[in-house]
Amino acid sequence: MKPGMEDILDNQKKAFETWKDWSDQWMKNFPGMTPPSSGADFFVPWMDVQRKWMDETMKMGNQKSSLENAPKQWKEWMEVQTQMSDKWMEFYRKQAQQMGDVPGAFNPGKTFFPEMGMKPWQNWMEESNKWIRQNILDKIPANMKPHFSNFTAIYDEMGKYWEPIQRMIQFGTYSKETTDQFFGPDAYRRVVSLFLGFKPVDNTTKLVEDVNTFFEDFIGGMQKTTPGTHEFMNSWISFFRDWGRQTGHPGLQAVAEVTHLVDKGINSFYHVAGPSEELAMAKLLKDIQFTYTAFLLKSSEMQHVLLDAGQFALPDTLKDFYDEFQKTQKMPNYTEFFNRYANNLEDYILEVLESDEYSKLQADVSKVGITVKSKMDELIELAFNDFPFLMKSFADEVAQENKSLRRKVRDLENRLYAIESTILGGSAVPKEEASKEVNSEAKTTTRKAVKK
Amino acid sequence: MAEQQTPSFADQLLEQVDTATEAIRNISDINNVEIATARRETVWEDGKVKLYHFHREGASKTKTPVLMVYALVNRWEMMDLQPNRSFVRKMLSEGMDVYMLDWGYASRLDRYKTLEDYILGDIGDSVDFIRRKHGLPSVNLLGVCQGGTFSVIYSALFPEKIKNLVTLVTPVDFDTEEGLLFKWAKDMDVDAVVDGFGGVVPGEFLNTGFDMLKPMNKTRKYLSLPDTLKEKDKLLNFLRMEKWVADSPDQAGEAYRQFIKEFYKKNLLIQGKFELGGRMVHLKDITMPVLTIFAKEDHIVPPCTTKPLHEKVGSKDKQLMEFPGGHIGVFVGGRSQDLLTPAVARWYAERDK
Repeated sequence: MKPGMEDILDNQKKAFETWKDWSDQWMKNFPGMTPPSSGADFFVPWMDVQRKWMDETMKMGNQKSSLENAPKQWKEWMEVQTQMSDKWMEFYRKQAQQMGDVPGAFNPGKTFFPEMGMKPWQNWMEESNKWIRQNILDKIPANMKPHFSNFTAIYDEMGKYWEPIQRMIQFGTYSKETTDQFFGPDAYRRVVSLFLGFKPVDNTTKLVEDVNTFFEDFIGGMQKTTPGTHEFMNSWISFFRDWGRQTGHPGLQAVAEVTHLVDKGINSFYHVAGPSEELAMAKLLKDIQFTYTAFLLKSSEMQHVLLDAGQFALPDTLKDFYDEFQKTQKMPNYTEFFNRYANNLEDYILEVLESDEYSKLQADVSKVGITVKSKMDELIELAFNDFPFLMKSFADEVAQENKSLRRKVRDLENRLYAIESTILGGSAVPKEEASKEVNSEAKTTTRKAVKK
Repeated sequence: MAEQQTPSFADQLLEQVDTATEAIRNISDINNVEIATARRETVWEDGKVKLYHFHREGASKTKTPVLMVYALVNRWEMMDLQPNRSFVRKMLSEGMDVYMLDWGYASRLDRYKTLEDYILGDIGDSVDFIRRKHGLPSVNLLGVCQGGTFSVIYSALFPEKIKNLVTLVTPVDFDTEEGLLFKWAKDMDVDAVVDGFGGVVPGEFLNTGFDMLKPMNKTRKYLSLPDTLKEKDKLLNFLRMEKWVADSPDQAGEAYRQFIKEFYKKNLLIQGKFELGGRMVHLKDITMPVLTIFAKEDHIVPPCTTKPLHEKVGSKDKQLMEFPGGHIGVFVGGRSQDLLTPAVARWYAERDK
């Protein structure tokens, strides 16, 4: 859900309240600490500024719309937040130094209070990040949105594993077996599929069953409009059901073989049946079903090849960082880790993409995928054959004529060019303009040029 | 030591808060993202194809104008992405008179449009228009990527109409497996693709292929967003590039089929076996001065596909120029602005006799 400004403000308010509670607790537990004037030195001015800002903003009516439509106010508000966070952090640092503790990523016991104090700011950050993401999405072109959404999904998904990943880097537990224990096949498949932008095929058998269901529904609908094919359709449905039962094993080869057998069986039916529009549609439907199944199988095979290729990318990345940690004792941040993982994964995947096998497989996937689409187009044209609708094939005829006419114009232009060249003695700039000239200045110039 | 080097939780959070604050501020400030804003007028058009003439302050330093021909894939706006990263504007500021051919957006009406229509028709008509307008026997041609291949073919067929030829990252030798596109195209059943798509190949289909050349490019791009968001200029650059990448026109099927079959699969051009409009195209017939520019780290059109032009043309005055960057960097990178474009303009000017 898109986080609104109210959410951000609410969180910010909660942040402050929790901070105040935490400060009070801090003071009780560490009575020797320098009190920050009960927070008054920065809390009161901050609240005053904010209250004033809120009053101004509310005068504009609806809070959300006024915030979103008033960049000036919005900027002022952000300035106030920044000042507050700077001051607050400075205060926190001073207190931490007096405790003799510089908090880091690996001393959670000592950093309990600071972490507790920071939690609300983390919440604020999370809400802000959601707002930022949503607004980036709003500003990028529609066909780029899925890519960005994919990216954020992967980034978040991997982020769930960041805590154990840090431990693995720290302790050098990067073997594939160990990695698989916390980052299992499902998570891996989900992440890699998002990286490469394809819908993961979890279970080929299930997918084939789903396809069968889809076609049965489709055929069911067709029976209502073409009762003449009723008998044939029923026998066909039983084919699919048998096929579904026989493909209980997830092995792709079995599915492929059964598909082939069913295909042969149905073909023999067409050989004895006479031609008709209904039959043509039924045949097309059959073609679509088998081509689509072929697409699923090929697509699944392609995904497996890519998934196999990248399975060592994570262990390799962990090892890279473990080696670096041993030398420098420096832990990467999540973004650095994510970036390295993506790069390592790409190296493995590129090895596959560069292979002859992948090239052929990809060509097959494209071919069958596009064939499904074209057969669907044919089916639609056939289904609406008797209706007075303009179909794509009409456009093709117009396109063909358009192209012929354009070529004829060009041929005529060339002939004219040859004649004028002869008459004008091979003038440098001879050809008469056949196409439309947009501005009059150009036309004048053209005439001048021709006279030369 | 370890504690000091590891960024503290507080520092990390504070940095994030600062970044988020800047990001929200910058995003809120940006309402409209524009590309290709250099002033221009349409001086000729035929169907969807347009010829633009860019406005320039003052007279040009050269008498021969330059016609730029971009690829059918993606849009010419890359040549004028933003004011301070614009090949077009830089050429203008270097004193050149610049025209640009805009192929428009192919639709089903263009499904039978062939390479002959694009090269002999659209490029030929544009060249003739400019020649007439300026009263010149020949014009300068600058071809980009696939548009460069078209320009090479046109120059070979009509050398008398082209005064100087510059090719930017232009493939002419397709017999390589160095670039994945060149490898994959050989296995592609282009008939199934073109016919299956009903004669118009969707731009999205092509984009999928381009994305797979470097599968993590998008991830890297979005991963660097926190830094990008901190600066408004960087954020605008990012959004402009997103806009350009997203604008991927569909391809006229017959021309696409021809291009894949005759170039990627059969590599006819470099062998002197490519025929267009009933005439054989021989690269040795290119006799005007030629500047061949390739990008050293180009993973879309690798140098091995572009450099052979330098050897094959019949020109006595020819130059091979290496650009230290990738395919897109040639048009919009800092080095393009500072070094490459001025060098191209200088090269034209020196031959503007």
